[in-house]
Amino acid sequence: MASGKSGFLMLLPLLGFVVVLVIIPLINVINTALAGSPATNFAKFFESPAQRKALLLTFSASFGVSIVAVSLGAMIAWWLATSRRPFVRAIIWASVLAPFWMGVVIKNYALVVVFAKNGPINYVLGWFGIPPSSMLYTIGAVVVGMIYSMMPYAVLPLYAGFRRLNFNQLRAAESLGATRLYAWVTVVLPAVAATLFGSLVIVFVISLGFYITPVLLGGLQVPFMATLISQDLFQYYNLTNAAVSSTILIVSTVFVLFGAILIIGWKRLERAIL
Amino acid sequence: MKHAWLSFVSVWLTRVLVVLAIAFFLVPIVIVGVMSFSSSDVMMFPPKSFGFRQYSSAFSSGDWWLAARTSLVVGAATAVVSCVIAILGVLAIARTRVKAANLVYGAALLAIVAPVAAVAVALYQVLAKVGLLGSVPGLVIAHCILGVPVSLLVLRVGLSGIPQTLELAAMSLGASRVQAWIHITIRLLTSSFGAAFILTFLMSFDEAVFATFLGGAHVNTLPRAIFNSIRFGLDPVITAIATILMVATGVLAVGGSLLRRGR
Amino acid sequence: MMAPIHRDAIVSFESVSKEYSGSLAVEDVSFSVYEGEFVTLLGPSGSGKTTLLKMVAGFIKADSGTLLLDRRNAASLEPRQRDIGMVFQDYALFPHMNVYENVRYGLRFRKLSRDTVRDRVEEMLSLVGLSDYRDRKPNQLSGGQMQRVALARALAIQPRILLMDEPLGALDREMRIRMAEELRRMHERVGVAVLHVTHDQEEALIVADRIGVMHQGGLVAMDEPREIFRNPKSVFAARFLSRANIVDAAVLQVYDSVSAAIGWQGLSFHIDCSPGQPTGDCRLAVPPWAFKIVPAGNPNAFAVRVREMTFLGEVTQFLCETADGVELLVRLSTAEVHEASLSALYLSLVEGLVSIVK
Repeated sequence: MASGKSGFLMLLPLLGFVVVLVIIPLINVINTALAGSPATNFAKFFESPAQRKALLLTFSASFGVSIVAVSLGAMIAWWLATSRRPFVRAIIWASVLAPFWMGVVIKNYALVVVFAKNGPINYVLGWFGIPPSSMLYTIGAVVVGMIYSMMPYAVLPLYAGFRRLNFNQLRAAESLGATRLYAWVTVVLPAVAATLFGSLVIVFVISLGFYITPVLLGGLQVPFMATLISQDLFQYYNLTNAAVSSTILIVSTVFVLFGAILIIGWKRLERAIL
Repeated sequence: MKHAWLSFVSVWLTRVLVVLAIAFFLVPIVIVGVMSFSSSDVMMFPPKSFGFRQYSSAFSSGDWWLAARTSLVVGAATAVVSCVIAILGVLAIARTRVKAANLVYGAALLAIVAPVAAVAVALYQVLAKVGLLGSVPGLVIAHCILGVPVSLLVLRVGLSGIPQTLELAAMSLGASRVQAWIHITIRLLTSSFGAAFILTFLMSFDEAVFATFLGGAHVNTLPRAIFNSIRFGLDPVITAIATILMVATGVLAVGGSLLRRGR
Repeated sequence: MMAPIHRDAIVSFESVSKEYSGSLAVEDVSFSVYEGEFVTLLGPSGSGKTTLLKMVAGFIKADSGTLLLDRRNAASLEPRQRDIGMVFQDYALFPHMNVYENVRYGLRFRKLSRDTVRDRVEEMLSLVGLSDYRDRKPNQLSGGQMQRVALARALAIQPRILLMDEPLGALDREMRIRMAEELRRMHERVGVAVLHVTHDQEEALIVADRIGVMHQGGLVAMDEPREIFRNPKSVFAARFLSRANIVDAAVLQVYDSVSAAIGWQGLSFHIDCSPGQPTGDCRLAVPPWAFKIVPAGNPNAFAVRVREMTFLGEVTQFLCETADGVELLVRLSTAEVHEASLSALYLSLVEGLVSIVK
């Protein structure tokens, strides 16, 4: 084992990275939000109905996204972990990882194309005599887009969690007379509960900062916190207001992560970060 | 066995849901691919006729080439910087006795889950202060916020597969610690290193939020250009660019994960 | 027997202790390994034997006490300055190098001519019989072959001492015994001092000149194999080495402070003892094979009731109980047992196999 000294020297770049690029900037933002009269800064933020709406929308959409993404992710991860057919596994892997590889903008673009008024969904609906309507710029479109983006974050940790299971326990439960569902709930669920919770937290926290998806799929009709931040920064040149929104996101994130660490511990939360 | 029917229903419901979800995940890719071969200049599904019109107009546009070049430069620089920081950090964490190492590692990982928009504002202020706002180095620094955690994760997993006894063996045979790292550990980390490099590069190459917030007037990366283009209308040229990017990143990402699995 | 004094000590532990998070991993250990000697530390896992080995290699440092290498204090020496060859339990072969390159690795840190290096590697490969495998990668070798490469690599640098950490632990029993015998022969040829660690008694008996028994961080006995079996000195060593029965007896008288008269189960007999042995209560280690069957009525015998009998091939094992309720594990030659009555036995002791233990 190396001495502390050379180890510290090697850690220095990473430490510098963390301090200069993460800690100082975040503290700086909070400082800006608190500059002058903090009470006024935050009061101004909450006075605006548009900002209150954005806040509510961001948090409720993120919450919904994390619930749906993790539930669906658990089903997909379970199938991946238990299926032995290589073809099925390949298809599932491709579908899970595709949004990951496509890049943020491209995948949202693809959804814009799919949801568009003269896009494929309306085309198919047309067969049933349903008149075309734009599904774009709705909260539904944004939520679907966010779930699409967050799928790998939900599936990968859960897949790893399922792979760590001893499947003989499940067979034992079934051999003792439990149905598949009962065995799953009583044997598998307790073993992966922490991982599920960790993924839920990670997906929620990442969702809070979404910008591209709400802008492209939600437009001005569905304003998220990130949309407002961008407007404050580039249209109204109101750095204080942007900093207040950012501070709300940062403090919420820290709060949620800290709570999660208290509940399931850092090790298990770390596993949920891909 | 009173839950038997419930069990049956839940098993089948799961299957149906998963199949639907998978179909839905794959559909957008296919649609974009199909539409990229449309020869119409308005977006319409299904395309009326097929051709290479979108590809030829994409390739003939100087703006797209410029954006692609910027993205490549930023991506490569981000990958290099991130991997260097990460390899030193990972070795310090796993192979030395620095007390604070795990704390620093945790803090670095948290950067990946911090709300992107808020981090973008934070960096906006800092980069503006040091005059790097709207510059390539500024964007590289920003992308390292995502690149360093990714490299850390990949390299740490890679390092955990290399027994420490290999280094001890090298040292018992006369190597210094640094020689043991260079001859053995880093040499064996090559494939993880390649994977970390590719993933970090892709992360940067795909990134649009920092690029939009911090790119200023001059640094226009490909995702930012596409983002701006679709914000203000659906130009069918994008389908071609998107298809090219999907294929390219797909190939790179498969390569990366093969490297990660090692041979 | 004492270790030969005229030879130089290559490694000496002097009251060495090491603590890991509050518990002692090594406690007050003192012993030396002399030139050309094969010393085996034998003990269950967690007894501190590997910790001692790692101290010699320089991977960990002692909290107190002194470690001498070639009569120099080793505290300030880096692993690479110690001139040690080490064979690891997992072999630690470099997976990206072939057999030849693995064996050559240590030589690149020594100022040797290209020819010397080549000759040395060839010599080592032929020593372990792997000359035909020089281009193979470690993942193309069997466990036994990897073990040999690890050995050749460690010996190539002509170390002052060879350290072996459970070198045969990953092999199956048959292979382990074959490799142990090979190791013994190789040691006779090369003559390097060896400090070897194992939990396998058979392996230790095949290879070692001297065996040290480790228990909870302490070195509880150290001697030549025959001697340590005859006189294990400690209760733990007696139990660990031979599953000896530990029984209460009495020292009746001590003669010239080298032998004692012992009374047990109505028998009285003489055994060797260490100087200063007081008379009175003592504990004896009686190995299961220290018994023999005698006809009933023999004055030098005692009766036991047989509680359990297990046939083990050439020997048969009995769990017996004496008249005063002492449980005894007894192994007798199956040929001898054949004629005996099996619900009760008359036993006497084989002289020279019983010893006093603390």
